[in-house]
Amino acid sequence: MTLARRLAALCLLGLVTISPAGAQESGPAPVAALGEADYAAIVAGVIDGAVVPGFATLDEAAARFSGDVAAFCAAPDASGLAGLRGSFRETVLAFSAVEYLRFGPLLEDHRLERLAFWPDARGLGLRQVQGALAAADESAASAETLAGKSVAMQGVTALDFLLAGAGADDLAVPGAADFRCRYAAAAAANVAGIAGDLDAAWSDAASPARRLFAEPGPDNPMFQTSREAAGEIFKQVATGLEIVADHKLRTILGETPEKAKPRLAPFWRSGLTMASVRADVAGLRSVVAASGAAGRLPAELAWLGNAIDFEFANAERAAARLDAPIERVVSEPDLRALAGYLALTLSSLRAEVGSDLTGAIGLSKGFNSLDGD
Amino acid sequence: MQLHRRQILSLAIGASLLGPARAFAGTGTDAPRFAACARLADGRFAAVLLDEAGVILGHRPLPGRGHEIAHHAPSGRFVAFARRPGSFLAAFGDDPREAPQIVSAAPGRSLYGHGAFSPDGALLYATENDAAAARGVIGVYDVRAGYARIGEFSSGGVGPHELLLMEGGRTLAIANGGLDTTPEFGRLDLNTAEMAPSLALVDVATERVVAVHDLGADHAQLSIRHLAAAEDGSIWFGCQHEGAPTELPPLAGRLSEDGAMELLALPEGLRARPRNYVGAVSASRDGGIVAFSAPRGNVVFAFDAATRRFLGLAPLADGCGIAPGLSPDEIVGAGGEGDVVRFAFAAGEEAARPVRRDDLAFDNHLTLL
Repeated sequence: MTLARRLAALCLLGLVTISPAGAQESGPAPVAALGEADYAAIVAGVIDGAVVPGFATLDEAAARFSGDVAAFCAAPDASGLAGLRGSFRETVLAFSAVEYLRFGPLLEDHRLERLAFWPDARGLGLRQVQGALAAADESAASAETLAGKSVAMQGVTALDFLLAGAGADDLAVPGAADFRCRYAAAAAANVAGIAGDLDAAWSDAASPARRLFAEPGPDNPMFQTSREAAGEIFKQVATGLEIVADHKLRTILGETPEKAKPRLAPFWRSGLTMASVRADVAGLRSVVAASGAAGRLPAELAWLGNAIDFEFANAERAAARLDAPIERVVSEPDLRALAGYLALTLSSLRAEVGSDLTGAIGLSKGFNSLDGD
Repeated sequence: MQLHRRQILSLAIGASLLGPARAFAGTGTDAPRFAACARLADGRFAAVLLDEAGVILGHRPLPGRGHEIAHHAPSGRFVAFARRPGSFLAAFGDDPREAPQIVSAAPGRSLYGHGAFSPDGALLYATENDAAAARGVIGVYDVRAGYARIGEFSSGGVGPHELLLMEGGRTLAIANGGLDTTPEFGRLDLNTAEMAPSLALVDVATERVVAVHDLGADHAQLSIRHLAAAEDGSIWFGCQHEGAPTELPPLAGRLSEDGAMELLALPEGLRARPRNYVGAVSASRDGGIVAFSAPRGNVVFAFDAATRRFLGLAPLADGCGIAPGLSPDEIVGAGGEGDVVRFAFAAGEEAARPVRRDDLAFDNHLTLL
């Protein structure tokens, strides 16, 4: 064990306090001496301040969207389609805000993949959606049976094709795309159902999900201590930042415009890729803010909290300026450069949040979920 | 592996480059007994040689992060495989002064971290991914022709990870983890909801898959990743659960003689300890004990191979690499915080005896030379 880690461990036991002099250049990194009550407060802050509200918002948006699709299919027209695409956008953004809260109910019953199947690296999802349309497969037009079909064809990624892919404009013409509309309605109801289950799981303080985080201990399948629960939350934030930077941005941008892969970007047909990225970032930022971790840093590291907040603000601003169809973002030099800057900022945030901040509040750095063999 | 005096000296010189931690080096013997990939204190990746006391004798630099090391005792050759999805094998001869030969992955293929020499040392088999076809293959390399890749055959599944040569090299057992990846998306698993892991058996002479075993629909998200053979010839495997972490399925299992796949659960109160992830599996030298490491839970646990009785669970910080120890029923483990520990599971639960701690991070696998 390095000297720094030994001292950090001793700090946690309250046996040693680190003096701030010269902490940046030499000597061990300062670590705040937090106890279980502090970690429990951090966890509760995130659950109450980001997780519960986030899934409530998704539930509202998905329910509204599902109602809108059903109403639209009964009386389709062009302005209705435009309105529908608007409430689809709200659902995608609400999903993006919570998509990296990969613990608890989102990981059960394949909910995450059923809500959104991305990346569709081999085009399997696309083929399944197109196949269902071509065959007018009735099992895709009912929410109950659709839920049991392949994960790749029943969520918001499938809806991206249904509402904005080839032939989608036919939806506005009464009678021209009845099956497509019914499939879209089934998918929207499926998404609303999953979102409703997630909201129910998180909003009830006595639910298994809430107790998983609120009641660590020997009988808890995941967390012996609140410190572990806090560690899991920050691990998922770091993973989310990494996925957005490396896969939603760098993989899509490619090293050169010729190597770009805009059609692997999420929600590209609806033109929502960068809006989704912005919502991803805002969602992750709200988790860090709700944790209150910055307020628990040792005095000599208070700058770290400010730096993280500053970078998050930069990232959100960059993502907002990039709100254009992904085909333009990957090909126009100014937008490519800005997207590259955004990826860099998010990678930097990943290190600051996933290593520096967590280390400074006494969490072990640990694996992120993309690590292992 | 026998070493001459001047080879020992040059290894010692290599060892001194590891830095001030050498000041703590104890009095080990001179023969390397274990090898492991590791990350050195300065962040570089290396293949590291240890003696039976866990003293680091030297290291050989690697071009990137390594995973397993395969060893052929009679020739003294060993090969470090890149971590998946990897682009290199690093082949070392028994002369420590020679630089390793770096063999690149074939076009359209990624190395998946594991491999083994044929008993006569003429061939090297490596698990690989054919990303375009979303299928696993076993790459075949001609050792004496500079590790030229001379062919490949199906691994019987997707995402092959560890392989094991059985029956004197006549049968290859392959842990197909079931996870699909493509080069653009790196290590992102693309198909966790619909994965189909398996344990496949291939007849080496014909290169044909003769059996594919799986854990059934209820355990479709248990990725079968690591293997070891017990004294009765049964194949034991260790898994990583890709589903909801609260499910805590058993992670250890064996393929019985009549082709049945059995899972072995930990005692109720210990089920959460491995954190749904086994990183390595090793039998003891006499094949009577099979041990499993769980780095995310910082523990190693073991079963009696013949009776399938649970023998105990012991701590090892970030412990992953495990290998047969020097006495017949012992297991040695190495961890990401630099620990080397000896486990005597037959003796009871308080079985771990720390051996050393060094200023480097041992990676996922440990090989007995």
